[in-house]
Amino acid sequence: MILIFCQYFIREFEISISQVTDILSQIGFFILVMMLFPLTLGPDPNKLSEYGIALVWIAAFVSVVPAYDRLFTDDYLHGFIEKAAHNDQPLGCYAAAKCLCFFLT
Amino acid sequence: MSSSELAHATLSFTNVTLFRANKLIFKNLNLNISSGEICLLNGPNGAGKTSLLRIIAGYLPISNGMMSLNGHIFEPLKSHLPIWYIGHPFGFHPNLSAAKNLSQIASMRKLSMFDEDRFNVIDFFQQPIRTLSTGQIQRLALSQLLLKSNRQKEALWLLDEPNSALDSLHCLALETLIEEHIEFGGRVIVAAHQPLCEHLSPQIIQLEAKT
Repeated sequence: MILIFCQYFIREFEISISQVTDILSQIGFFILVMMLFPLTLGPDPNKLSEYGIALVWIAAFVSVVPAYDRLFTDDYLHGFIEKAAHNDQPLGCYAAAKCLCFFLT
Repeated sequence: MSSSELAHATLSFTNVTLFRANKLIFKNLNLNISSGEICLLNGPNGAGKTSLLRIIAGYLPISNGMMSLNGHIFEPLKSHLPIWYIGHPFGFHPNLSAAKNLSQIASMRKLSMFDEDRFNVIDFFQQPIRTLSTGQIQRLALSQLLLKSNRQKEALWLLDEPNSALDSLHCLALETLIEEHIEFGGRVIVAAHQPLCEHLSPQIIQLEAKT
């Protein structure tokens, strides 16, 4: 099971790096959101340092939201999930590898 | 069920009925397929050929009826009977190479790569799927049937329009492959608009379009 998990993970990683534009657009969106906070909160350093960490986390989560939609949709449309269903290993193995790779990239 | 029992088991579909979105697709369909038999599904677009293949593969639930394997209830995704559904979508990721896609499927099913490249896929093995033509992708999909395993002999092949984009040379290769599988004792169910394997005198299931 560990072997098949690693194979799924490698596949997901290769797909992620082949879709560089997706990663760049998430980073761009994150930077954009971060730039908006000083404009809306004002340039007060004390206020920014107080809220800064929380805002970074919120911006990071918000920037990955558009990618959630495609997390499993692509594989479903390409028929990969159906192929994985005929595997002896549980589909949870595939889902776990997918989620881990998504989190790391 | 032991391996030898599985090899000679008969797959039966009794009074299988399918509704999709409240529309009747087919009703009371009966089909028996044993080791070394081939079945052709005929019918116009929308008659339910692909749906029937997807039911047998376990991707669609039936609305009514019974599926059994040697008298036991047949659950395709849990059965030890190896099932290969080759139809659109093929399960390939467009950004990965043909080799990577095929080796992923092989490793998922604990099979090893083929020796004989009957569909000439080595020519484009390193190219991403998105750069391949429809015929090349179909040839790659059919190459899954060449992957090696001890359990492949009794496998059930479900082929959905397998020759729709193939040239005459590869159509011949496909027919030879099906013939060999039947001789080995395998089972094949094919949905096709073009004639295929007529010399093997297959049983024919005629599906009608519902208006």
